[in-house]
Amino acid sequence: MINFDNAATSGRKPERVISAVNRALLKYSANPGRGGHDLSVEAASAVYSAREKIAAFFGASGGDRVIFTANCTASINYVLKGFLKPGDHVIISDLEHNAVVRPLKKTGAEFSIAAVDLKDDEKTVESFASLIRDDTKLIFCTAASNVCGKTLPLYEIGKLCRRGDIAFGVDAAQMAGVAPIDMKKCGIDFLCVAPHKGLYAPMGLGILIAERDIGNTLIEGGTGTNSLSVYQPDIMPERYESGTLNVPAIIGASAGIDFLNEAGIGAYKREMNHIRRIYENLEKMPHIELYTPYMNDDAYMPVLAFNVKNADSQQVAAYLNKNGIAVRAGLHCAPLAHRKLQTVNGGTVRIAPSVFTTPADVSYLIKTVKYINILKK
Amino acid sequence: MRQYMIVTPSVTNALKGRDALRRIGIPARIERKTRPGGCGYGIITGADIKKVESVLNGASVKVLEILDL
Repeated sequence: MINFDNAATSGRKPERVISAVNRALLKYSANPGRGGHDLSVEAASAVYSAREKIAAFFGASGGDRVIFTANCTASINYVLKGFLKPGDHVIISDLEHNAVVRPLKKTGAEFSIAAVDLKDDEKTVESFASLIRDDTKLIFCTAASNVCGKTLPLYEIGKLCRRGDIAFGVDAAQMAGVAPIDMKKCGIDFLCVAPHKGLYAPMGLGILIAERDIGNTLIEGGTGTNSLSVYQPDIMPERYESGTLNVPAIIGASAGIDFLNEAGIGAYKREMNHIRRIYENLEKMPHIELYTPYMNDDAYMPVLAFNVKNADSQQVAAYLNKNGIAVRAGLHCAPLAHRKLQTVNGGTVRIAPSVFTTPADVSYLIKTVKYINILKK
Repeated sequence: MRQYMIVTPSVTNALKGRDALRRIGIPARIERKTRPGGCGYGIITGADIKKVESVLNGASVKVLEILDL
């Protein structure tokens, strides 16, 4: 199978990540932060080193601001449900995933939706700015859409937040590891990361980097310290890490960062070249519909949405699957984005390469899509 | 040589402190410690305690108490 569904999870993991995870299972099979024996301390040291590496990778102030969660959705829930109370005002974008919209709804906070302009970032910033009120507490937005790849101007939105003393949270699921994110430079207070996507780590781990106090906890339980107290400790990051950590996945994420540091920005450029080549070819096909303008670096992540005219997107995905190509079709858990693209009836087909995608993979995809004009709704 | 245990509230704090000391060449290791509130972690070191306190302060390591071992 040729995997073009890397926006869901990076399909192929680098050898060094696989080795690191295997090594962790053998060497760090002790609960960090619980025992006093050498095995536990070694596991805790390995986890701490991973925290420091993750903090450095995202421009955060230190490893103790790095919280490990079950997944990126859990990270987002921790921020929204910890930081907000009913009636607080929040601004999100019209590209948000349900991982943002659903917990936000649950908080009882009032939210406004800024319009992302697919061509002009200045217009996006103006939209966010126009929605800021005296009582706006948080701007929470995606770094890049999981439906169409459009990035948001994080630096400029961060400036708006700093001006208005508003907290700034980012769902970096689609961007983290693919393109650089500097929390300090962009003024990001809460960064939510899906390591199994752009960091090439195993599934079953989320990262939340909190440079500011989140507030309430979502989960309380054992933290390995202060056990006589029935209250959750207020020390970071343990306050938000009750229960046993996914140590193999954490070590895998650390190895994924090593892999990316070696691959450098060239990896992103290669993936964007693949996407642009696919775009250039699909654009010429009369039976294909595209929804975004031609993608420049930085304005887009390597994700492309398309449809076969008069065909159901799931049928198209099934056809591609039969021909050895994995893609995701439908609404991608992001109804806001599909309302924006006017694809809410039926969704779209999503193409997302990875660092391992080859020019031959791209050629085969293009050829297969070209001769797909046989399906009718 | 005199040994001290710098008690911290969590393993992350203890490791942060240990690494801060090791970075400037001060040997340190961590150990589990029973405290009035339950359990914690301590940084064990034999270095000049004033210097150690200064380094840990600079690294924003939360120190609960310093014990003379």
